[in-house]
Amino acid sequence: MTGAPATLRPRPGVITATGVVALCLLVGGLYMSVTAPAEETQGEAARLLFVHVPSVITAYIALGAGLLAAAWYLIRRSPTADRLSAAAIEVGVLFTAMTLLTGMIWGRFVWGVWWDWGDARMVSTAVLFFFYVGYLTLRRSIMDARVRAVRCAVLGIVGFVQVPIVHYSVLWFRTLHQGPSVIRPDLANSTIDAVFLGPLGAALAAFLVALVYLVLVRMRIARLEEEISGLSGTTQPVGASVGPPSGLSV
Amino acid sequence: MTAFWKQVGWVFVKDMRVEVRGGTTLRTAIPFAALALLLAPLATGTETALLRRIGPGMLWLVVILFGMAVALRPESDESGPVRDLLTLSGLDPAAGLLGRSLASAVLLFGVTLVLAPLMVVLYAPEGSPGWGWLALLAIAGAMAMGLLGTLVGALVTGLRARTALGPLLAIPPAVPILLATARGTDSALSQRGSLSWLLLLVAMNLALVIVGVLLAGPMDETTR
Repeated sequence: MTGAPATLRPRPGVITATGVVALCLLVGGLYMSVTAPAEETQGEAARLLFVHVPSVITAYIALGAGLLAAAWYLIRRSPTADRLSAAAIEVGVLFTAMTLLTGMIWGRFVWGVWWDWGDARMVSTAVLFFFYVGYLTLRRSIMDARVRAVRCAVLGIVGFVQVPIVHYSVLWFRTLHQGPSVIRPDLANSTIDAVFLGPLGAALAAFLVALVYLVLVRMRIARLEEEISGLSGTTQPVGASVGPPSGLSV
Repeated sequence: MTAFWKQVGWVFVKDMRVEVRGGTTLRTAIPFAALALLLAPLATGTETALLRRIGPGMLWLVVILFGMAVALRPESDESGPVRDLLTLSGLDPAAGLLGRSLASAVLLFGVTLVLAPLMVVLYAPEGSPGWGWLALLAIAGAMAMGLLGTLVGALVTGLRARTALGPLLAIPPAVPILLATARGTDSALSQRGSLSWLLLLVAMNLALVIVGVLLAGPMDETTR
Protein backbone atom coordinates (compact mmCIF):
# COMPACT_ATOMS: atom_id res chain seq x y z
CA MET A 1 0.00 0.00 0.00
CA THR A 2 1.30 3.45 -0.84
CA GLY A 3 0.17 7.05 -0.49
CA ALA A 4 -3.02 8.72 -1.66
CA PRO A 5 -4.57 6.99 -4.66
CA ALA A 6 -4.16 8.82 -7.94
CA THR A 7 -7.23 10.30 -9.58
CA LEU A 8 -7.74 11.03 -13.25
CA ARG A 9 -10.42 13.48 -14.25
CA PRO A 10 -10.36 14.39 -17.92
CA ARG A 11 -12.17 17.65 -18.64
CA PRO A 12 -15.56 17.31 -20.36
CA GLY A 13 -14.12 19.36 -23.25
CA VAL A 14 -11.39 16.78 -23.80
CA ILE A 15 -13.97 13.99 -23.83
CA THR A 16 -16.15 15.86 -26.32
CA ALA A 17 -13.15 16.61 -28.55
CA THR A 18 -12.21 12.91 -28.50
CA GLY A 19 -15.77 12.05 -29.50
CA VAL A 20 -15.70 14.51 -32.41
CA VAL A 21 -12.37 13.12 -33.64
CA ALA A 22 -13.75 9.56 -33.34
CA LEU A 23 -16.85 10.53 -35.33
CA CYS A 24 -14.79 12.18 -38.10
CA LEU A 25 -12.51 9.14 -38.31
CA LEU A 26 -15.51 6.80 -38.40
CA VAL A 27 -17.03 8.76 -41.30
CA GLY A 28 -13.68 8.74 -43.12
CA GLY A 29 -13.17 5.03 -42.47
CA LEU A 30 -16.70 4.26 -43.66
CA TYR A 31 -16.12 6.24 -46.88
CA MET A 32 -12.83 4.43 -47.57
CA SER A 33 -14.45 1.06 -46.84
CA VAL A 34 -17.34 1.72 -49.23
CA THR A 35 -15.13 3.04 -52.03
CA ALA A 36 -12.51 0.27 -51.79
CA PRO A 37 -12.59 -2.25 -54.67
CA ALA A 38 -14.55 -5.47 -54.16
CA GLU A 39 -12.41 -8.43 -53.12
CA GLU A 40 -11.70 -10.97 -55.85
CA THR A 41 -13.19 -14.09 -54.22
CA GLN A 42 -15.40 -12.76 -51.41
CA GLY A 43 -16.96 -9.88 -53.36
CA GLU A 44 -18.88 -7.23 -51.43
CA ALA A 45 -18.96 -9.37 -48.26
CA ALA A 46 -15.28 -8.56 -47.75
CA ARG A 47 -16.27 -5.03 -46.76
CA LEU A 48 -17.57 -6.47 -43.50
CA LEU A 49 -13.96 -7.23 -42.63
CA PHE A 50 -13.28 -3.48 -42.41
CA VAL A 51 -15.52 -3.57 -39.34
CA HIS A 52 -14.80 -7.11 -38.14
CA VAL A 53 -10.99 -6.94 -37.99
CA PRO A 54 -10.76 -3.49 -36.31
CA SER A 55 -13.47 -4.62 -33.86
CA VAL A 56 -11.49 -7.62 -32.70
CA ILE A 57 -8.20 -5.68 -32.46
CA THR A 58 -9.97 -2.94 -30.47
CA ALA A 59 -11.55 -5.57 -28.21
CA TYR A 60 -8.11 -7.12 -27.53
CA ILE A 61 -6.70 -3.70 -26.67
CA ALA A 62 -9.68 -2.82 -24.44
CA LEU A 63 -9.48 -6.11 -22.54
CA GLY A 64 -5.70 -5.69 -22.28
CA ALA A 65 -6.21 -2.21 -20.82
CA GLY A 66 -8.71 -3.76 -18.40
CA LEU A 67 -6.05 -6.29 -17.35
CA LEU A 68 -3.36 -3.63 -16.78
CA ALA A 69 -5.75 -1.39 -14.86
CA ALA A 70 -6.86 -4.36 -12.73
CA ALA A 71 -3.23 -5.12 -11.84
CA TRP A 72 -2.72 -1.41 -11.14
CA TYR A 73 -5.69 -1.51 -8.78
CA LEU A 74 -4.39 -4.52 -6.85
CA ILE A 75 -1.00 -2.82 -6.44
CA ARG A 76 -2.08 0.77 -5.69
CA ARG A 77 -5.77 0.43 -4.70
CA SER A 78 -6.57 3.44 -6.86
CA PRO A 79 -10.31 4.04 -7.54
CA THR A 80 -9.32 5.44 -10.94
CA ALA A 81 -7.70 2.11 -11.81
CA ASP A 82 -10.88 0.27 -10.84
CA ARG A 83 -13.01 2.61 -12.95
CA LEU A 84 -10.60 2.32 -15.89
CA SER A 85 -10.56 -1.47 -15.67
CA ALA A 86 -14.37 -1.69 -15.51
CA ALA A 87 -14.88 0.83 -18.31
CA ALA A 88 -12.28 -0.78 -20.60
CA ILE A 89 -13.71 -4.28 -20.08
CA GLU A 90 -17.28 -3.06 -20.61
CA VAL A 91 -16.32 -1.43 -23.90
CA GLY A 92 -14.24 -4.51 -24.75
CA VAL A 93 -17.35 -6.66 -24.37
CA LEU A 94 -19.18 -4.31 -26.75
CA PHE A 95 -16.45 -4.68 -29.40
CA THR A 96 -16.32 -8.47 -28.83
CA ALA A 97 -20.07 -8.62 -29.48
CA MET A 98 -19.57 -6.56 -32.64
CA THR A 99 -16.81 -8.98 -33.71
CA LEU A 100 -19.10 -11.97 -33.25
CA LEU A 101 -21.99 -10.32 -35.04
CA THR A 102 -20.02 -9.16 -38.07
CA GLY A 103 -18.20 -12.50 -38.19
CA MET A 104 -21.49 -14.39 -38.27
CA ILE A 105 -22.91 -12.20 -41.03
CA TRP A 106 -19.67 -12.54 -43.04
CA GLY A 107 -19.75 -16.31 -42.47
CA ARG A 108 -23.30 -16.51 -43.79
CA PHE A 109 -22.24 -14.86 -47.07
CA VAL A 110 -18.85 -16.56 -47.54
CA TRP A 111 -19.20 -19.96 -45.82
CA GLY A 112 -22.98 -20.28 -46.22
CA VAL A 113 -23.63 -20.71 -42.47
CA TRP A 114 -24.17 -18.31 -39.58
CA TRP A 115 -22.21 -20.49 -37.17
CA ASP A 116 -19.57 -23.15 -37.69
CA TRP A 117 -18.63 -25.42 -34.77
CA GLY A 118 -15.42 -26.39 -36.51
CA ASP A 119 -14.17 -22.82 -36.39
CA ALA A 120 -12.02 -22.56 -33.28
CA ARG A 121 -11.79 -18.75 -33.49
CA MET A 122 -15.56 -18.34 -33.58
CA VAL A 123 -16.23 -20.71 -30.69
CA SER A 124 -13.40 -19.36 -28.51
CA THR A 125 -14.57 -15.78 -29.14
CA ALA A 126 -18.08 -16.73 -27.98
CA VAL A 127 -16.60 -18.32 -24.84
CA LEU A 128 -14.57 -15.14 -24.23
CA PHE A 129 -17.70 -13.03 -24.69
CA PHE A 130 -19.74 -15.03 -22.17
CA PHE A 131 -16.90 -14.99 -19.65
CA TYR A 132 -16.74 -11.20 -19.73
CA VAL A 133 -20.55 -10.97 -19.58
CA GLY A 134 -20.09 -12.86 -16.32
CA TYR A 135 -17.55 -10.22 -15.26
CA LEU A 136 -20.10 -7.46 -15.87
CA THR A 137 -22.74 -9.42 -13.94
CA LEU A 138 -20.34 -9.91 -11.02
CA ARG A 139 -19.62 -6.20 -11.04
CA ARG A 140 -23.32 -5.39 -10.69
CA SER A 141 -23.89 -8.04 -8.01
CA ILE A 142 -21.52 -6.71 -5.35
CA MET A 143 -22.70 -3.79 -3.23
CA ASP A 144 -19.50 -2.99 -1.34
CA ALA A 145 -17.19 -0.84 -3.52
CA ARG A 146 -13.91 -2.23 -2.12
CA VAL A 147 -14.99 -5.87 -2.37
CA ARG A 148 -16.31 -5.26 -5.89
CA ALA A 149 -13.07 -3.64 -7.01
CA VAL A 150 -10.81 -6.40 -5.63
CA ARG A 151 -12.86 -9.33 -6.91
CA CYS A 152 -13.39 -7.78 -10.34
CA ALA A 153 -9.67 -6.97 -10.56
CA VAL A 154 -8.86 -10.64 -9.91
CA LEU A 155 -11.38 -11.73 -12.54
CA GLY A 156 -10.13 -9.12 -15.02
CA ILE A 157 -6.61 -10.51 -14.69
CA VAL A 158 -7.59 -14.18 -14.88
CA GLY A 159 -9.99 -13.68 -17.80
CA PHE A 160 -7.40 -12.10 -20.08
CA VAL A 161 -5.69 -15.49 -20.44
CA GLN A 162 -8.38 -16.28 -23.00
CA VAL A 163 -7.39 -13.45 -25.36
CA PRO A 164 -4.16 -15.06 -26.68
CA ILE A 165 -6.06 -18.37 -26.89
CA VAL A 166 -8.67 -16.70 -29.12
CA HIS A 167 -6.05 -15.03 -31.30
CA TYR A 168 -3.79 -18.04 -31.77
CA SER A 169 -6.61 -20.59 -32.00
CA VAL A 170 -6.42 -20.35 -35.79
CA LEU A 171 -2.79 -21.47 -35.64
CA TRP A 172 -3.15 -24.07 -32.88
CA PHE A 173 -6.23 -25.87 -34.23
CA ARG A 174 -7.27 -27.13 -37.65
CA THR A 175 -10.09 -24.70 -38.35
CA LEU A 176 -12.19 -23.17 -41.06
CA HIS A 177 -11.23 -19.61 -40.07
CA GLN A 178 -8.41 -18.09 -42.08
CA GLY A 179 -5.10 -17.45 -40.33
CA PRO A 180 -4.12 -13.98 -39.09
CA SER A 181 -3.53 -11.51 -41.92
CA VAL A 182 -2.39 -8.47 -39.95
CA ILE A 183 -1.19 -9.44 -36.43
CA ARG A 184 1.02 -12.36 -37.45
CA PRO A 185 3.98 -13.96 -35.72
CA ASP A 186 6.06 -12.76 -38.69
CA LEU A 187 4.89 -9.14 -38.62
CA ALA A 188 6.76 -8.12 -41.78
CA ASN A 189 4.86 -10.56 -43.99
CA SER A 190 1.29 -9.28 -43.90
CA THR A 191 -0.86 -11.35 -46.27
CA ILE A 192 -3.38 -8.60 -46.97
CA ASP A 193 -3.35 -6.75 -50.31
CA ALA A 194 -2.03 -3.19 -50.03
CA VAL A 195 -5.22 -1.76 -51.55
CA PHE A 196 -7.19 -2.95 -48.50
CA LEU A 197 -4.67 -1.79 -45.92
CA GLY A 198 -5.78 1.88 -46.25
CA PRO A 199 -9.47 1.37 -45.37
CA LEU A 200 -8.53 -1.18 -42.73
CA GLY A 201 -6.03 1.20 -41.13
CA ALA A 202 -8.53 4.08 -41.22
CA ALA A 203 -11.25 1.95 -39.64
CA LEU A 204 -8.82 0.71 -36.99
CA ALA A 205 -7.77 4.28 -36.14
CA ALA A 206 -11.44 5.29 -35.89
CA PHE A 207 -12.27 2.35 -33.63
CA LEU A 208 -9.29 3.01 -31.36
CA VAL A 209 -10.22 6.67 -30.88
CA ALA A 210 -13.84 5.58 -30.32
CA LEU A 211 -12.55 3.17 -27.68
CA VAL A 212 -10.76 5.99 -25.88
CA TYR A 213 -13.89 8.16 -26.08
CA LEU A 214 -16.23 5.45 -24.79
CA VAL A 215 -13.86 4.54 -21.94
CA LEU A 216 -13.55 8.20 -20.89
CA VAL A 217 -17.34 8.64 -20.98
CA ARG A 218 -17.91 5.42 -19.03
CA MET A 219 -15.30 6.40 -16.43
CA ARG A 220 -16.93 9.81 -16.00
CA ILE A 221 -20.37 8.21 -15.55
CA ALA A 222 -18.89 5.79 -13.00
CA ARG A 223 -17.30 8.62 -11.04
CA LEU A 224 -20.53 10.62 -11.04
CA GLU A 225 -22.50 7.55 -9.93
CA GLU A 226 -20.04 7.02 -7.08
CA GLU A 227 -20.42 10.66 -6.06
CA ILE A 228 -24.22 10.31 -6.08
CA SER A 229 -23.95 7.08 -4.08
CA GLY A 230 -21.69 8.88 -1.61
CA LEU A 231 -24.17 11.76 -1.24
CA SER A 232 -27.17 9.48 -0.77
CA GLY A 233 -25.26 7.10 1.53
CA THR A 234 -25.99 4.07 -0.64
CA THR A 235 -23.34 1.68 -1.89
CA GLN A 236 -25.02 0.36 -4.99
CA PRO A 237 -22.68 -0.85 -7.70
CA VAL A 238 -21.59 1.45 -10.46
CA GLY A 239 -24.03 1.27 -13.35
CA ALA A 240 -26.66 -0.50 -11.28
CA SER A 241 -29.12 2.38 -11.18
CA VAL A 242 -32.26 1.45 -13.10
CA GLY A 243 -34.25 4.63 -12.65
CA PRO A 244 -34.03 8.20 -11.43
CA PRO A 245 -33.44 8.83 -7.74
CA SER A 246 -36.68 9.06 -5.77
CA GLY A 247 -38.15 12.57 -5.57
CA LEU A 248 -37.15 13.46 -9.12
CA SER A 249 -39.55 13.43 -12.03
CA VAL A 250 -38.65 12.76 -15.62
CA MET B 1 6.37 -25.07 4.62
CA THR B 2 5.22 -28.06 6.67
CA ALA B 3 2.85 -25.79 8.58
CA PHE B 4 1.41 -24.63 5.26
CA TRP B 5 0.63 -28.19 4.14
CA LYS B 6 -0.79 -28.99 7.57
CA GLN B 7 -3.21 -26.10 7.09
CA VAL B 8 -4.11 -27.44 3.64
CA GLY B 9 -4.82 -30.80 5.26
CA TRP B 10 -6.95 -29.25 8.03
CA VAL B 11 -9.14 -27.37 5.58
CA PHE B 12 -9.45 -30.47 3.41
CA VAL B 13 -10.54 -32.59 6.40
CA LYS B 14 -12.97 -29.87 7.56
CA ASP B 15 -14.64 -29.71 4.11
CA MET B 16 -14.85 -33.49 3.85
CA ARG B 17 -16.41 -33.68 7.32
CA VAL B 18 -18.97 -31.05 6.33
CA GLU B 19 -19.77 -33.08 3.19
CA VAL B 20 -20.11 -36.32 5.19
CA ARG B 21 -22.53 -34.60 7.59
CA GLY B 22 -24.46 -32.61 4.97
CA GLY B 23 -24.24 -35.00 2.01
CA THR B 24 -24.98 -32.37 -0.64
CA THR B 25 -22.93 -34.15 -3.30
CA LEU B 26 -24.21 -37.63 -2.60
CA ARG B 27 -27.86 -36.78 -2.07
CA THR B 28 -28.37 -33.97 -4.56
CA ALA B 29 -25.65 -33.52 -7.17
CA ILE B 30 -25.07 -37.18 -8.10
CA PRO B 31 -28.76 -38.17 -8.50
CA PHE B 32 -29.43 -34.98 -10.49
CA ALA B 33 -26.40 -35.63 -12.75
CA ALA B 34 -27.47 -39.26 -13.26
CA LEU B 35 -30.92 -38.04 -14.25
CA ALA B 36 -29.33 -35.69 -16.82
CA LEU B 37 -27.39 -38.64 -18.33
CA LEU B 38 -30.64 -40.58 -18.51
CA LEU B 39 -32.65 -37.78 -20.13
CA ALA B 40 -30.06 -36.58 -22.67
CA PRO B 41 -30.75 -39.38 -25.19
CA LEU B 42 -34.43 -38.44 -25.20
CA ALA B 43 -33.39 -35.02 -26.53
CA THR B 44 -30.64 -36.10 -28.95
CA GLY B 45 -32.35 -39.22 -30.32
CA THR B 46 -31.90 -42.81 -29.14
CA GLU B 47 -30.09 -44.32 -32.14
CA THR B 48 -27.47 -46.71 -30.77
CA ALA B 49 -24.72 -45.47 -33.12
CA LEU B 50 -25.30 -41.85 -32.07
CA LEU B 51 -25.32 -42.70 -28.36
CA ARG B 52 -22.13 -44.73 -28.68
CA ARG B 53 -20.43 -41.73 -30.28
CA ILE B 54 -21.63 -39.03 -27.87
CA GLY B 55 -21.39 -41.08 -24.64
CA PRO B 56 -17.93 -39.98 -23.42
CA GLY B 57 -18.56 -36.33 -24.29
CA MET B 58 -21.94 -36.42 -22.55
CA LEU B 59 -20.34 -37.89 -19.42
CA TRP B 60 -17.82 -35.06 -19.15
CA LEU B 61 -20.38 -32.39 -20.00
CA VAL B 62 -22.57 -33.63 -17.16
CA VAL B 63 -19.58 -33.97 -14.80
CA ILE B 64 -18.46 -30.42 -15.53
CA LEU B 65 -21.91 -28.83 -15.28
CA PHE B 66 -22.86 -30.66 -12.10
CA GLY B 67 -19.28 -30.63 -10.84
CA MET B 68 -19.41 -26.86 -10.75
CA ALA B 69 -22.52 -27.18 -8.59
CA VAL B 70 -20.46 -29.40 -6.28
CA ALA B 71 -17.51 -26.99 -6.20
CA LEU B 72 -19.90 -24.09 -5.54
CA ARG B 73 -22.04 -25.98 -2.99
CA PRO B 74 -23.49 -23.77 -0.24
CA GLU B 75 -21.26 -25.37 2.41
CA SER B 76 -18.17 -24.06 0.61
CA ASP B 77 -19.34 -20.45 1.01
CA GLU B 78 -17.05 -19.40 3.83
CA SER B 79 -18.38 -15.95 4.58
CA GLY B 80 -19.40 -14.81 8.05
CA PRO B 81 -18.48 -16.68 11.25
CA VAL B 82 -16.63 -19.56 9.53
CA ARG B 83 -14.39 -17.07 7.74
CA ASP B 84 -13.78 -15.13 10.96
CA LEU B 85 -12.84 -18.30 12.82
CA LEU B 86 -10.41 -19.40 10.09
CA THR B 87 -8.85 -15.94 9.97
CA LEU B 88 -8.43 -15.82 13.75
CA SER B 89 -6.84 -19.27 13.60
CA GLY B 90 -4.10 -17.78 11.42
CA LEU B 91 -5.04 -19.72 8.28
CA ASP B 92 -2.91 -18.86 5.26
CA PRO B 93 -5.38 -17.80 2.51
CA ALA B 94 -3.47 -19.85 -0.09
CA ALA B 95 -3.58 -22.94 2.16
CA GLY B 96 -7.32 -22.44 2.62
CA LEU B 97 -7.86 -22.20 -1.12
CA LEU B 98 -5.77 -25.30 -1.85
CA GLY B 99 -7.48 -27.28 0.93
CA ARG B 100 -10.93 -26.38 -0.35
CA SER B 101 -9.84 -27.19 -3.93
CA LEU B 102 -8.53 -30.58 -2.86
CA ALA B 103 -11.80 -31.40 -1.11
CA SER B 104 -13.80 -30.37 -4.18
CA ALA B 105 -11.48 -32.41 -6.41
CA VAL B 106 -12.03 -35.54 -4.31
CA LEU B 107 -15.80 -35.02 -4.43
CA LEU B 108 -15.69 -34.46 -8.20
CA PHE B 109 -13.61 -37.58 -8.68
CA GLY B 110 -16.29 -39.41 -6.70
CA VAL B 111 -18.99 -37.98 -8.96
CA THR B 112 -17.04 -39.21 -12.00
CA LEU B 113 -16.60 -42.67 -10.50
CA VAL B 114 -20.35 -42.99 -10.01
CA LEU B 115 -21.37 -41.55 -13.38
CA ALA B 116 -18.81 -43.32 -15.60
CA PRO B 117 -20.30 -46.85 -15.18
CA LEU B 118 -23.75 -45.38 -15.66
CA MET B 119 -22.62 -43.81 -18.94
CA VAL B 120 -21.16 -47.18 -20.07
CA VAL B 121 -24.47 -48.89 -19.30
CA LEU B 122 -26.69 -46.24 -20.92
CA TYR B 123 -24.58 -45.27 -23.94
CA ALA B 124 -22.36 -48.35 -24.56
CA PRO B 125 -19.42 -46.34 -26.00
CA GLU B 126 -17.28 -47.88 -28.72
CA GLY B 127 -13.80 -49.24 -28.06
CA SER B 128 -12.09 -50.95 -25.17
CA PRO B 129 -10.97 -48.64 -22.39
CA GLY B 130 -7.37 -47.91 -21.50
CA TRP B 131 -8.01 -47.82 -17.76
CA GLY B 132 -4.73 -46.12 -16.88
CA TRP B 133 -5.37 -43.15 -19.18
CA LEU B 134 -8.99 -42.87 -18.04
CA ALA B 135 -7.97 -42.81 -14.37
CA LEU B 136 -5.30 -40.16 -14.99
CA LEU B 137 -7.73 -38.04 -17.03
CA ALA B 138 -10.39 -38.31 -14.32
CA ILE B 139 -7.95 -37.31 -11.56
CA ALA B 140 -6.42 -34.40 -13.50
CA GLY B 141 -9.86 -33.24 -14.66
CA ALA B 142 -11.31 -33.39 -11.14
CA MET B 143 -8.36 -31.40 -9.79
CA ALA B 144 -8.69 -28.73 -12.47
CA MET B 145 -12.44 -28.44 -11.90
CA GLY B 146 -11.93 -28.35 -8.14
CA LEU B 147 -9.38 -25.54 -8.42
CA LEU B 148 -11.45 -23.55 -10.90
CA GLY B 149 -14.67 -23.98 -8.92
CA THR B 150 -12.96 -22.95 -5.68
CA LEU B 151 -11.39 -19.88 -7.29
CA VAL B 152 -14.74 -18.80 -8.72
CA GLY B 153 -16.43 -19.70 -5.43
CA ALA B 154 -14.12 -17.24 -3.67
CA LEU B 155 -15.15 -14.53 -6.14
CA VAL B 156 -18.87 -15.02 -5.50
CA THR B 157 -18.67 -15.69 -1.75
CA GLY B 158 -21.51 -14.13 0.18
CA LEU B 159 -23.43 -12.96 -2.91
CA ARG B 160 -27.16 -13.58 -3.29
CA ALA B 161 -26.64 -14.43 -6.96
CA ARG B 162 -23.93 -16.98 -6.08
CA THR B 163 -25.65 -20.07 -7.47
CA ALA B 164 -26.40 -18.48 -10.85
CA LEU B 165 -23.33 -16.28 -11.17
CA GLY B 166 -20.82 -18.96 -10.13
CA PRO B 167 -21.48 -21.29 -13.10
CA LEU B 168 -21.61 -18.31 -15.49
CA LEU B 169 -18.07 -17.39 -14.43
CA ALA B 170 -16.74 -20.94 -14.10
CA ILE B 171 -18.07 -22.67 -17.21
CA PRO B 172 -16.33 -20.57 -19.94
CA PRO B 173 -12.81 -21.15 -18.51
CA ALA B 174 -13.76 -24.82 -18.03
CA VAL B 175 -13.99 -25.33 -21.81
CA PRO B 176 -10.36 -26.57 -22.08
CA ILE B 177 -11.10 -29.08 -19.28
CA LEU B 178 -14.17 -30.32 -21.17
CA LEU B 179 -12.19 -30.62 -24.42
CA ALA B 180 -9.24 -32.38 -22.78
CA THR B 181 -11.30 -34.88 -20.78
CA ALA B 182 -13.80 -35.67 -23.57
CA ARG B 183 -11.23 -35.93 -26.37
CA GLY B 184 -8.80 -37.71 -24.07
CA THR B 185 -11.46 -40.29 -23.23
CA ASP B 186 -12.17 -40.77 -26.96
CA SER B 187 -8.47 -41.38 -27.54
CA ALA B 188 -8.21 -43.76 -24.57
CA LEU B 189 -11.22 -45.77 -25.81
CA SER B 190 -9.63 -46.16 -29.24
CA GLN B 191 -6.29 -47.21 -27.68
CA ARG B 192 -4.49 -44.16 -29.12
CA GLY B 193 -3.17 -42.83 -25.81
CA SER B 194 -4.16 -39.48 -24.33
CA LEU B 195 -0.83 -37.91 -23.43
CA SER B 196 -1.39 -34.56 -25.16
CA TRP B 197 -4.80 -34.09 -23.51
CA LEU B 198 -3.40 -35.13 -20.14
CA LEU B 199 -0.57 -32.61 -20.52
CA LEU B 200 -3.13 -29.90 -21.27
CA LEU B 201 -4.91 -30.76 -18.01
CA VAL B 202 -1.64 -30.76 -16.07
CA ALA B 203 -0.73 -27.35 -17.53
CA MET B 204 -4.15 -26.03 -16.61
CA ASN B 205 -3.79 -27.36 -13.06
CA LEU B 206 -0.40 -25.68 -12.71
CA ALA B 207 -1.73 -22.37 -14.04
CA LEU B 208 -4.72 -22.50 -11.68
CA VAL B 209 -2.51 -23.30 -8.66
CA ILE B 210 -0.20 -20.37 -9.48
CA VAL B 211 -3.12 -17.97 -10.00
CA GLY B 212 -4.84 -19.24 -6.85
CA VAL B 213 -1.76 -18.91 -4.62
CA LEU B 214 -0.94 -15.44 -5.98
CA LEU B 215 -4.46 -14.04 -5.71
CA ALA B 216 -5.71 -15.88 -2.61
CA GLY B 217 -4.61 -13.00 -0.35
CA PRO B 218 -6.49 -10.19 -2.12
CA MET B 219 -9.59 -12.41 -2.50
CA ASP B 220 -9.47 -13.43 1.14
CA GLU B 221 -9.55 -9.84 2.36
CA THR B 222 -12.88 -9.28 0.59
CA THR B 223 -14.62 -11.97 2.63
CA ARG B 224 -13.76 -10.46 6.03
